[in-house]
Amino acid sequence: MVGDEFGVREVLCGLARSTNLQACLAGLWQQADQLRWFSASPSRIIIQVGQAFRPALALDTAASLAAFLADRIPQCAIEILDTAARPDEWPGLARREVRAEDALFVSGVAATEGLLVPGFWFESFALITVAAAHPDPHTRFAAVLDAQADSLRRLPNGHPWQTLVYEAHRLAPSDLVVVCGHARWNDIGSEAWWVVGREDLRVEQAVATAAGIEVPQLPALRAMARHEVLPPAPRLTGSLPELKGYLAPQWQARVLAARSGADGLRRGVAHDLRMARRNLGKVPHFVRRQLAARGKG
Amino acid sequence: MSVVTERLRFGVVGCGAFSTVYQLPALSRAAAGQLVAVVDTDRAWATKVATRFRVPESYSDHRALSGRVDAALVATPNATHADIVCTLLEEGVHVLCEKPLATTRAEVNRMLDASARTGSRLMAGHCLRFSPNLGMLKQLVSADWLGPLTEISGGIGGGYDAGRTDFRRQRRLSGGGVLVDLGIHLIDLAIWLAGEAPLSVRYDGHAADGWEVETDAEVALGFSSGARALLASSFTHPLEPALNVRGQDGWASAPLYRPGELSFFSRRARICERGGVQHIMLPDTTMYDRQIEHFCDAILTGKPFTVRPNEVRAAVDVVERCYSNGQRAEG
Repeated sequence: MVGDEFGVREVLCGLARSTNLQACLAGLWQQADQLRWFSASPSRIIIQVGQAFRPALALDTAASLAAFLADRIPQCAIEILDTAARPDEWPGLARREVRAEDALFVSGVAATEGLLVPGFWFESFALITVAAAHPDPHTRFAAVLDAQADSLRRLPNGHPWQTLVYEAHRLAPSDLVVVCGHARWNDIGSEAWWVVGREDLRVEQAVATAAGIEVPQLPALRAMARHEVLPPAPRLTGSLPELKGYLAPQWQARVLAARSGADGLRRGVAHDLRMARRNLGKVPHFVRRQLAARGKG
Repeated sequence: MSVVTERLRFGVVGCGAFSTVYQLPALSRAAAGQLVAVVDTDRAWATKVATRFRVPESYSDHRALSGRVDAALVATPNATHADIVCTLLEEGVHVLCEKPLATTRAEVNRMLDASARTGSRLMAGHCLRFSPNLGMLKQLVSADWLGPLTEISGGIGGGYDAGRTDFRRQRRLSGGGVLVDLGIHLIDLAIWLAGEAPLSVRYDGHAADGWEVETDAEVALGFSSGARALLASSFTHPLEPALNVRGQDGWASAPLYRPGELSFFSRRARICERGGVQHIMLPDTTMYDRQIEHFCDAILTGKPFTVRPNEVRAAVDVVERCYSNGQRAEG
């Protein structure tokens, strides 16, 4: 969405009581604008809302940003990708869906046997992800990386979560990322907070650190580090409270990781069997070709 | 025109290597088609093929199909297509005819006129259009993902396989050399992708020793949009079997004989911004199965064929212009 690399390391933080949420959001969008994060003026923006945890705060944040962008870039078409939304939930905004019939199968990096991606990823648009941070039994903590993978999860991709999270980051990373929550998870009486940035990994790092988990221990970032060098720590502007209740128990993540490993092994064996069957299926055709060649002779 | 049942009764005319290796197996698998007869001028061979594919009837003359089939696949030497196809159309048989539909514009017109007059439908078997990757390529060109087309390039061919009849060496049967036999695949694809007949045609051909017809051919087509096509075909040396399409904003490349693969890059595509070139993987179904399926579906439902008469005319027109512009094969 931006025309240059300005402000990639920068991560904006906002903090507000429930009485002044809108004012705080307006201030954040202004700050982002001053950093020229909206300067490229795309003709089309898709705002995707994280589906795993979808509180009112995330919806209000997405609505506020959509309104700001409609005013700031009037010629831009803004679409909402929010699968769980009711039909009347986003008045005035075009809805974008992930449909299996439009999906394309592409080769992957983590998904070595390939994966289905939404057809609209082949179109031209700027992508904004709005996600509410939350505890996750697999990854202990989930925010933007998990939300980016929602579109891949909507398709019949049977890959482990870390594969989809990495492929979504590789193939359709967000141009702008907004993560939100309350100081105590799911407690709307506590202060609301937002982290806004241009790079998914840096924003994830910033929020995870505030939630009390060191980056090397965060499963999602560890999965990323198998494929690319993680960026240096973000430069925070504004303050972020200590986040409480955002981490799922470590033992649970370990048990699920072991189960996922066993599933992976099972999938590998099934894949090998499929390939063997496919190769055997080619034998009759090969024999027919040979017979035809002999017949010609 | 014959009244067709839910499953088309099919006859195959011409039981050369192409039929026995590709088309007859595809027809045997077709849900909407039922193989009931095979025809070959070599009756003994026809009987042998019928036995191998469990086809009830075999004949040495295509006229024997009259009243016995709803549709026929014609896969005889190129220069014989027109007469056989016209006879079948007159008998009320729908025809899927191997490419080239004919070797001259006059013959193509005669065949299409016969189809229009009788109501029996005729489709040219430009089978590569039914390859999943080339179908996808057409879709993404139509959706403007590559931007306005600038260049189409491709190659086809390799060492010549004489086959059972070796008709391709004889102009009387083949109607031309590698250009009309293999090059026409690429010409058809270029016309299909460009969406128009070319304005300009340049041709260079060469015949290897012992050949009556050209064994190597290069064609350059110019379209009114400004796009151009550079197409090479050969009976003597292997060319990379692929079709490459370049637009102002991206490119795509489809290997001709790996139907499930398509490489794609576009500056317009979000997925290519960070992910770079995308290798799209498609169902690995054979073009022959899909072609038969499409032909049967079009006959049974009345839908138009993917291969349009004006495109067939344009492709044969290119070949005829190549052969008639004085630059034909040099021995």
